[in-house]
Amino acid sequence: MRELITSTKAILFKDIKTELRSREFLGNTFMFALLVIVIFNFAFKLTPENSPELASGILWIAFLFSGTLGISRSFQVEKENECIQGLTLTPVDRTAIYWAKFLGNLLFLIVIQVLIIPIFIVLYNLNVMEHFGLMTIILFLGDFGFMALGTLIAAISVNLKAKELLLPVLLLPLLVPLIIFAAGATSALIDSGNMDDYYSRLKLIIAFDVVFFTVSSLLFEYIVDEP
Amino acid sequence: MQKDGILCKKVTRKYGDLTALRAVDLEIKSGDFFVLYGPNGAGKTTLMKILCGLLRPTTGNATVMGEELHESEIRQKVGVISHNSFLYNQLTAHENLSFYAELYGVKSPGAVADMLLKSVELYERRGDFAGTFSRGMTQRLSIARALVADPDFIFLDEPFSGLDVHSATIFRDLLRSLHQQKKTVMMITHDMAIGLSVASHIGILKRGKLVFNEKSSGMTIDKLKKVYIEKVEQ
Repeated sequence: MRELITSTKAILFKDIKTELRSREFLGNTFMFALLVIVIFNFAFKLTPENSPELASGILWIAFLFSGTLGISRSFQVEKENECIQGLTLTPVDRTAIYWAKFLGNLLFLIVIQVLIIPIFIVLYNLNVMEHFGLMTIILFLGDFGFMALGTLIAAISVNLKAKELLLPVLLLPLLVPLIIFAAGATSALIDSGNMDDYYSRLKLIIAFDVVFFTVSSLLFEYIVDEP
Repeated sequence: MQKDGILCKKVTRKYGDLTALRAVDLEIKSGDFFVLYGPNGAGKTTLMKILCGLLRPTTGNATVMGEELHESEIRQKVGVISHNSFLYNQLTAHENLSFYAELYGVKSPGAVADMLLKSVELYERRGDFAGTFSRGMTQRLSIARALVADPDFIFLDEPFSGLDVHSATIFRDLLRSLHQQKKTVMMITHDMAIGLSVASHIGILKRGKLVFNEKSSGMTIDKLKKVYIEKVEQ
């Protein structure tokens, strides 16, 4: 277990270092998320009444599409010079590669959210401070499930010919339940304030996270190793 | 079963309908320097990928020290230089080596990286990004990467391709020193002279079959060329 954590840390720090130098995930994802929330802001006639209702859906659409764009990059880096083969030649457990990629993607998405959400609150005139803690929980758990599944699908699609096209085609249908639960829970916080709604969806999100993180951790070695 | 070297037993590998390797039997004893020749598409890289654990044979089995390369403990003892460098363009030469050293569980990754950079004469460029290196420098850095864990088994796939005279000389000296250290080496090359100058054993692969496997002692370059043409054209 100690070796697994050490290897995960080494790969994660390497990913953070390369990302800070290239800014491919952060730069592209931020711009895309910003564009989505700005365009929706102009596209819908927002009023104080309908704004909270629409906001949760728009917020999760922005993170879903921009996050999908970002995770496709996480394995592209490993395809340059076939570094992924270099990783699999080392005695590192394949799970460490998955965990590091998952944590890196999760961290980068959280950074994007920290930058986007204040802009979103101002644009959509929302009051989320009342439930700030609960909002943070739902965002984190939504991101967790998204990246648990997204990292696995990105690893599958990176070896395919039309990878840019296939990643969203494979990933988005699988994420539909998570996005429905997350948008519903977010809406419960900023719109109705119905805590029963919030907690029932939170439980479903936790179940999604546990299932897909466990399954992805177990399946990853079969995806990364050539048959 | 041999426990200290590399052993292939009836290794066959298919890619769909294409058979890349046909029941290859090969034994490389510990400390041997095995050089494999063969025309393009003969299956040399496939054989090497199977031996170093990047591919699985369709049938038969390949072992290093009696174990399959998918076992992580054995991977610790294997270094690979391939067509691809496995280097990260956005990391410096030193960071690349330190990173791999850390993954191999080397105790002082930074010190080992420095030592290897000196041995491939890249120490002056330790702070430069690998993406800015020329082909020859990348290949030298790739050699250093393969040696970070001081492996007992080294697999080299056309390591001299693209190297300038200076880099090739550094690399040949390094190969000789590895052989003197009794490392087990398998090298694929098209350069007969270079291969013969370092080999203890020579093999020729043709259409997925090992058609020649002999000791290199007493072999001259002319004789080797004759044997190669004979075996390949047969």
